[in-house]
Amino acid sequence: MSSLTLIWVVALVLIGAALTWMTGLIVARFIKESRSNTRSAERKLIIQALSGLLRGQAEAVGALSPFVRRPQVLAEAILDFQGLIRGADQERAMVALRNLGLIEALEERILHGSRDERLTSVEALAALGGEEVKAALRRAIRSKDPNVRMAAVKGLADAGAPPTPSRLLDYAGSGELAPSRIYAEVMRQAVASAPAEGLQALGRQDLTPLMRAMLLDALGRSGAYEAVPALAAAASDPDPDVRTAAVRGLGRLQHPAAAETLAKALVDQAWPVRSAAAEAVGAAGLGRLASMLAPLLDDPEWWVRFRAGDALGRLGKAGRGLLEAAAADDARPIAQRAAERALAEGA
Amino acid sequence: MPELETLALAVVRFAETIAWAVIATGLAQNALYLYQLLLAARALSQAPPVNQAALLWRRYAEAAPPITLMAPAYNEALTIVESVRSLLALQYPHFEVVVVNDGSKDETLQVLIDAFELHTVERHYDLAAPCQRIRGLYAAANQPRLLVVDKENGGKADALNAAINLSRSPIVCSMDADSLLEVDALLRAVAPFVEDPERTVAVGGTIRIANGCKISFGRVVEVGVPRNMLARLQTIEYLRAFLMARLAWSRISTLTIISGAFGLFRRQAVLDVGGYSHGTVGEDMELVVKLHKHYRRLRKPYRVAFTPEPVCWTEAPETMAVLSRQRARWHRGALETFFRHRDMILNPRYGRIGVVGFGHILVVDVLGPIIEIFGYVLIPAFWLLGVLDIEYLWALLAVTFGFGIVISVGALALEETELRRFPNARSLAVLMGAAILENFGYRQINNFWRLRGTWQFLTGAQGWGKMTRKGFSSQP
Repeated sequence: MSSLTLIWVVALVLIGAALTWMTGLIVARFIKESRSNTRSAERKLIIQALSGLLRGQAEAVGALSPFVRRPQVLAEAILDFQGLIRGADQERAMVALRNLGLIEALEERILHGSRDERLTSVEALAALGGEEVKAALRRAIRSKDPNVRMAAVKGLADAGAPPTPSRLLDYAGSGELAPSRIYAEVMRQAVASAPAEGLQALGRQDLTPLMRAMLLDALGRSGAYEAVPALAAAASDPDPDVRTAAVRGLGRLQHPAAAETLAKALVDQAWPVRSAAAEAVGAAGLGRLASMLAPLLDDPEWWVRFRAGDALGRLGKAGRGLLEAAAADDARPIAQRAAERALAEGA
Repeated sequence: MPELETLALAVVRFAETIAWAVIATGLAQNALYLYQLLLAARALSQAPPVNQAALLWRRYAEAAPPITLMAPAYNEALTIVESVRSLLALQYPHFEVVVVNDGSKDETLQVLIDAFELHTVERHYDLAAPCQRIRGLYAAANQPRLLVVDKENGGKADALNAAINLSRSPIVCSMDADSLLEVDALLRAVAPFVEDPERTVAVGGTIRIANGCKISFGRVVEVGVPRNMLARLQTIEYLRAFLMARLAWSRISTLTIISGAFGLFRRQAVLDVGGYSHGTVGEDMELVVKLHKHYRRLRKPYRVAFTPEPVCWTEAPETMAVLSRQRARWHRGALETFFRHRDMILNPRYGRIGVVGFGHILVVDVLGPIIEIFGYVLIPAFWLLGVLDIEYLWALLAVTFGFGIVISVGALALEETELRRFPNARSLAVLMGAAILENFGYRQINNFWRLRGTWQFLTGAQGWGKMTRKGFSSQP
């Protein structure tokens, strides 16, 4: 074959491949359109049957049972349906679905479905509720798919049975769960349901600064005052992110015992810590620290100035007096502007 | 006559060299596109898009960080109220809309004041990113999510900087005032910030052509194929650019552009690089390159992500005159960024972004149009002089076109397999026709426009040129 012929063959193969691909896509679209119509009709049937369950129609169970063999479409419909109802109605429908053997069917899809199916199945599983489901979700944490693992952990947390804080830290440490914002949310739920275990976990030596900060954040949001000493201790950690999380946590707990720690944090080297401390002082209403906030009105970092002004505005008469004094002080133009804006925003 | 023979031989060799250079560039570009297609296909198969908005809400709403939507407006009095209403109706747990009236000469500010019953407010802000003087801030008691900034004119980059200064959210979203966002755009685009909060600094989203779509109250309610051929060709082009190229480059951490029509950024990261740069028409690309440079220099792990789902719709030009200005401007913007950061070109200090990202701009944007135009002019000339073999020329052209069609069909296949937003098989067939047609004339003329952009860059031309839009209200 001459080189010229070869080039022509390559060209024709490319053009032929493109045309075949196009034809294939159009044919596939026709098939998908037909399947999509069927699927929409099935979903409608499922929603009708679920509504029938709520009205106590016995035949609704029979209408749902064929779909247990095709759990994906049922899973999608459950997730749609779950958003529409709450309380006893939801529980009644979910009990009926559990009794149909849906848990086993969904678990099978978690193991063998496509990526999309695995994730939808674990989310639908979580929606079913009940002790059996919790056990199935715990099994799903062992999935190879990180998204399924996270969805399973989140499902457990939403069902009021999150893994312990220490276990969650293990998952992150081993790379089984990524330290995402969803993970942080689950950690908050875990610590809120077992603050003592959260405190204990804080003593672990294997925590990265990021994990320590997440745990401190969760302790701060838990509302557990016994966390104040631990948070105060963490406010002098060498890592600025850890210190910031600790100070924010103290701000959320709003406990007067944190005043000394917050006073130190107001003059921290790292501006996020100073900013968090100013916010915390305002949130906790620690009027006796007002005089320490005033100098922060001309801090080099805008966020610190803003938080200090905002906090002074929250500290009642004393804070407001300091703001008015700063606003009248021409010798400190940056503080003056910060105070003026704080007064204007607060007004 | 040995001198004549030597001269003829030299001409033939020169002609052959030019021809081979053109062919090699074409094949290199096509090979690059093929690589992008494979990367994009892999990315889509590993993280298929979520079709149901309710699922997105369930997965991300609780952990979603607050976002400030930044909408710069210049002389948008006719459309701004509808655009803002549409933005305020987005589905996202915590967001605010900062509209920046960039010194409009029309009634943009007044119509906003009247429509939303705005009154002047004070807000503490820092001039961390450079911007023109802010004349006033406006808010409404019944619309707590809305803040309107009135400032002196300074251009889009300047307006965005003002919005960043005013924002108090950790994430800011840049957009055009006339962009149409999907109702769940923020929820879709925020996913990388939720899943990888430590590293993610920016997220780009897929922009699609709204021509031919049914639009109601600032939303695309029914996707359609444009009736205008030029817009139809751009539909294929956008699919290739967003669904293939940008997704592929984000996959290997070399994405150098996030469209100005829609992009999410970590606010502090934008401030760390000084905000948007003035004096360039490619401020969107420039910002992303600055972020890469900053984090590479600090050796801090970071991520510029991309979401393949369509999050934003834009009106494509339907006349050659407007399209040519737009493309010349885009090209000028790319060249401005490329040469402003020339120290990054093929510089291993910047890792893949210097070698692959900037290497790609060099081959495709800087050299590509010049070499291709050389080819279009010189090859026929050499053929007329009888120094090139026409049979080889036709065969190689056929290979180039074949490649081009495969790539375009591939991009369409990605859309069809993973997103399937076009309504029926007929629209798919129409777009496939466009995928073939664009290789015969459209691509070539695009190159001329890009060359014009190169000329504007070399002669230091400024400004955006007149961008005429039909407006969405006239869409079918």
